[in-house]
Amino acid sequence: MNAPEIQIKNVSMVYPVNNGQDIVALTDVNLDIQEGEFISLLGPSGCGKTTLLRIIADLNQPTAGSVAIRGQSPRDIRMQRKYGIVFQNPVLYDWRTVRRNICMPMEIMGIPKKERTARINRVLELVGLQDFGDKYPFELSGGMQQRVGIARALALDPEFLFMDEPFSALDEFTREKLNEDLLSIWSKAKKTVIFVTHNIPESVFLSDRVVVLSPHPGRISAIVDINLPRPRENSIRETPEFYEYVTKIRRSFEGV
Amino acid sequence: MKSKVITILWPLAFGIALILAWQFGLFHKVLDLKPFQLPVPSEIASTLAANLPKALKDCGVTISGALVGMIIGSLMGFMIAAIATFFPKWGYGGMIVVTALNAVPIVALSPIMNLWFSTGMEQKIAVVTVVCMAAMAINGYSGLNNINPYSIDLMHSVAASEWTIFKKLRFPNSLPYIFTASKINIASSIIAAIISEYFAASTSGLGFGIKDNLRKAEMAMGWSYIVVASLAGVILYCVILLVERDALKWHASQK
Amino acid sequence: MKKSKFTSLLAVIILILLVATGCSSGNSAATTTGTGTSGADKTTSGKLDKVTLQLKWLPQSQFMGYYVAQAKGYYKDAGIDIEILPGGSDIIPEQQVYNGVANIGVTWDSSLMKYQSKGWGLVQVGQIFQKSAMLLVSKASSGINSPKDLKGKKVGSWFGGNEYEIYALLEANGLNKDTDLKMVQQDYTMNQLLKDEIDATSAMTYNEYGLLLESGLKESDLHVLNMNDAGVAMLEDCLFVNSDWIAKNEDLYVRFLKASIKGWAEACANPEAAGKVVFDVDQSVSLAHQVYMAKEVAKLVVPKDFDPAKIGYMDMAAIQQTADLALKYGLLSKPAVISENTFTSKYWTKATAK
Repeated sequence: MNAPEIQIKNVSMVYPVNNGQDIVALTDVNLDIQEGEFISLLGPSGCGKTTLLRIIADLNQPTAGSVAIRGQSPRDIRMQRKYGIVFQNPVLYDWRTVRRNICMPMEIMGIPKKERTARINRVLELVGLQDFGDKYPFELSGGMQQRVGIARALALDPEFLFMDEPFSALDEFTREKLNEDLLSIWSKAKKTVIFVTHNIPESVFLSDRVVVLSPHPGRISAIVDINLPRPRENSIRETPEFYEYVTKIRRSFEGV
Repeated sequence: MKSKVITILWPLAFGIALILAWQFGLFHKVLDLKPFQLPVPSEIASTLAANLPKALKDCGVTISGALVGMIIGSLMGFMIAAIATFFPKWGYGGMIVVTALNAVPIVALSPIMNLWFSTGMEQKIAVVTVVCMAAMAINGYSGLNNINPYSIDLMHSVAASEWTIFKKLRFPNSLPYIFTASKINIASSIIAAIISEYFAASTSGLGFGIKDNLRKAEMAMGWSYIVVASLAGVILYCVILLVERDALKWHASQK
Repeated sequence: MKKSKFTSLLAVIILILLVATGCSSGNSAATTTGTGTSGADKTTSGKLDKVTLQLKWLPQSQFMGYYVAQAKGYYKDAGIDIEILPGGSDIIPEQQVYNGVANIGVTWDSSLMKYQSKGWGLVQVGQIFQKSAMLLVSKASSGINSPKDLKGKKVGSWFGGNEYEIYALLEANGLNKDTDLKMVQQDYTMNQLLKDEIDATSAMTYNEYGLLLESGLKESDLHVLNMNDAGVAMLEDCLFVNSDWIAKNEDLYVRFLKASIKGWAEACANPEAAGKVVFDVDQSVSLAHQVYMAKEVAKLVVPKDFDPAKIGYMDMAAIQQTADLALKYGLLSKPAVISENTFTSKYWTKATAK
């Protein structure tokens, strides 16, 4: 086995609070992630899953422990613009059309105009929004807006894709549709994906491994390998194996 | 379309009714005023027509001072907001100073500016500048900082510099706020210019005309200046609205 | 959204209107008609008749006669409960008196003529200042020795009706006020002259000229053009009333005038004490300045060779000159009507009868 792509060692995160009762968001988290792996960080709110993702993305600094990504610090990876990120809400800039929203990080990265246009066309097609490129965000539905957010991350052609509950604000139908779309996109590129969610079936459907976190203090309580065959389609949700994984993970919470 | 016509028609009808009531002495009756105290619209109109070149020249003096002052004041206000955004620690103090300045009444400001500047135009521009600075600084600061934190995270995720964040995120985000401030400032700049002319070392401008004529019992002349001032204010306000509609196509308020 | 745009548009208009009209009258149509006491019984009832006097400017020795009469109880002795309202840059006595905010006002004759010509039913009923106090003052260094030297200079006035003596002075000396020099509005300090922002400033003998001296300049540092000397004097502080009010309150006004004349006579005889009386009412300027003003005002109310018993006398020739100048230099668009209905000395005659 190769050296892990991402190595999380003894990471802790404490938010100081004035009254002395500091909030321990994460305590002593250790996790190795392999290249090309689809990992879900699953848990109830307050378990520190988003915090862990933000530490890996260098948007927060851990109070203890370290993260190494291909032997480099998260900051190095961020400064080299090696990852794309998708947030809980679409984070679109109201004054830019869909195309120009997708374009924005590429502008900052200094990708040539011609290349940008080609990539925008490609990702628009990938997320099924080829007819909406010139619309403003307020003209799109919530699901469409979230697809733009994903397209924007994919357009960077990043080596890592970090997704922080990207579908949590969507209805179940849209969510399952986007889950399937995401897998088909991922299967073509095979990026390393870290996917934060509180939805058990979603994590089972998407992941190679589900990392279960539990709160107070936030820590890893289980890691479940999902050995479902790929490529997966939504019909797999109806299989007994799928159901077994979901049940197993749910029980792991009840034990807490 | 129909509702649009109605929204224009109602205020228009109301305005016409108001003018008619004024013309035919209703106000005079209710308020116990004589026509030589409050001239009727037809007299104001004929006085204005007879003195139109002078009134327009005075209007030009006032409006040019108001606009120059508003532009300088708005730029300064926005710069203060930008500095307060880049350097929150002492920029915040600057914001407090500007807000305090905002509380100084124009009538108190004008004599101070008369001490610092010797010509009427300079005094007027200075007063308007101070008056417009605060609204722009406060609104501009909101626009530069009232930002979804994820938007900034997104910028950081691609290692954007603070300057890039300002250019691509903070500044465009502040545009609706800038227009809000401009709409406030267009009215207050004309008011400030007029009031400064009450005190300024010059004998031109709408403010001087209003004050001087009303003092000298030339009520119709004074009122025709008031009418010119109001019209100028309305026209400039509409210009801002049009520019805003064009510049903020993407904004939900323009739907 | 559309609706709120119209609302804000309306707000803009209203704001501008409010500001613009704020300087005009700013008074509600409050009316205080006379108390209607008939002339027959005077003070015997012990009940005082309320009289409100509107000054043209802030409380200062310019108005010392009224303050002395008040302080010495002369109004009370005449059965009058006096209230003296200070003026200011945004208070116009003609409008105050016409609207009934005050019963009696102090203003300048030329200004009153203007209001009369526009139809305001006001009547002049006593002339307190016999001389013009208006000066045009420049620094000696600017070399303005005669009116002709004003050519090409920057000349200050308060405007609002105070500019016509200057216009008369200029045109009497062959200068065009619009093309030969620059007239600018001056403020109520003397800073513009002191800082050389203007070359000549309007100044009243009793007030601003004193301010210049108090600022450290000597008389020899200043050159003065006096309107009386130049033959372009227009009459200043006079008393006027609403025609309707005086018709019902003749006796009350005569009592007021009599008490006022007594106050003025005493003030002019002893300006030092009068200045102190005014200072006790209002300390916004120094006692020294109030006393200076009292002494200068005394010279206007009781000029050289003027019988102090005739304080308030209406010199119809001087009034006519004021009217002629006001017409000639553009304040009035038609000749002033000087008649019993507009300028009447009958109350003064009664008040000064032995």
